[in-house]
Amino acid sequence: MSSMYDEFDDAKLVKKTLRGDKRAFDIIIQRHQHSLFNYIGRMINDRELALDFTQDVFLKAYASLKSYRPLFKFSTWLFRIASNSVIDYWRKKKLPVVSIDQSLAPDEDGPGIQVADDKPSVVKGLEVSELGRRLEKALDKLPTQLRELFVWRHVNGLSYEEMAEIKRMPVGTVKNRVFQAKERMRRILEETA
Amino acid sequence: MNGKRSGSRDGSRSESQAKGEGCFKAEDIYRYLDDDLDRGAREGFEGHLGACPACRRAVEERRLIARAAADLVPLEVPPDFSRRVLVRIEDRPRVSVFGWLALGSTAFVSLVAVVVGVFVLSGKSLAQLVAGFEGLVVSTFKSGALLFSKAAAVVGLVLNVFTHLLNAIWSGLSGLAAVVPWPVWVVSLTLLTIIITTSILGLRKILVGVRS
Repeated sequence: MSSMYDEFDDAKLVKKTLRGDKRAFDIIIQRHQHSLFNYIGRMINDRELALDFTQDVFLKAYASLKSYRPLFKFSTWLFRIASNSVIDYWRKKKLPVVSIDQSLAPDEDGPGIQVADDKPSVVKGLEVSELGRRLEKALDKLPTQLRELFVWRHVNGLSYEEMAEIKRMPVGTVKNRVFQAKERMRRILEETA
Repeated sequence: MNGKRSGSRDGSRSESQAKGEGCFKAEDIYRYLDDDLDRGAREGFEGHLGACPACRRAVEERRLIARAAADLVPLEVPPDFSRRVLVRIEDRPRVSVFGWLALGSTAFVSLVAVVVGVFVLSGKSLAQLVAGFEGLVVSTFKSGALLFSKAAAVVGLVLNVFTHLLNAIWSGLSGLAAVVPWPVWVVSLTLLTIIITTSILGLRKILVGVRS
């Protein structure tokens, strides 16, 4: 069902919500639920828990809507809330959480490694759909902070600038970590081939 | 802008690679796939790819992984998801004006109850209790009034000192004005304004600009 609200940008919908218009927040939810759920779902890997988490993110956003500044994209503001919630969850689960601006130990997944070798290709003879299934499983094995960047880049299609804004980090650092996440993913696929 | 700068740097590297000085690094491939190389670097990259099957395979492999990741089956949100969130928003406990009044009243009643309880437990009569409570209120009020009068005296003293200080500065400046010619005043005041402005806003922000 289309309405005039669908044509409003996020900043206008936020203003309307702050004036008590619940329909405006309904549109905000519908506009961002898919991308947020696909991010959180891939980070937590439990559908029901991810749904609860996504709801909580919208509740937190609603409660702190006054602090949103239209200078930044609303979606990056939402992703920041979601990312903080996910990090809290990992901490509670005692999963290792390393800030991505911390320098990781140099290993063979660094973006500076030479890539040409004589090993058989990890994707040789695989259909994209089969590769996708293996990739979905491999996501679980990717360290949490790298998984987040991988999902943002490839599943949510965020730009490096958007990721840098969410993480409040320089774009160059984010790029470097994304390259590292991709290389680690490739190696996991190679190991599980 | 940033991409262009680093692209030039990579341009020279990729050119050397195209001349056979070594194969690509993962970063080069990802930047190539992101279309983040400038024209020269891109041409050098593609030139090397034409001659190096190993690098060609490395690029193709990473391109396929990226494609498979982008084509992952999306997780579907239940159709009533937004309604469920809105219901939770409606259900959140909110404290109305009457709620705040009730909270304040409860706090006041609790305070009175504690005071009465203390007197009762001390074994005093009702008359003593009322007298004691009265005494407590009066002594609290007296202490408050004394504190207020002392604070007012301190403020008066500070204002007095500040007035004398301003007078002294004004007298000094008037004396200087009679001796120093007006162009020196204009230059001095301009310099002073610049110093104060840069101190407040931060010299770095003015010279370098605020980092976005």
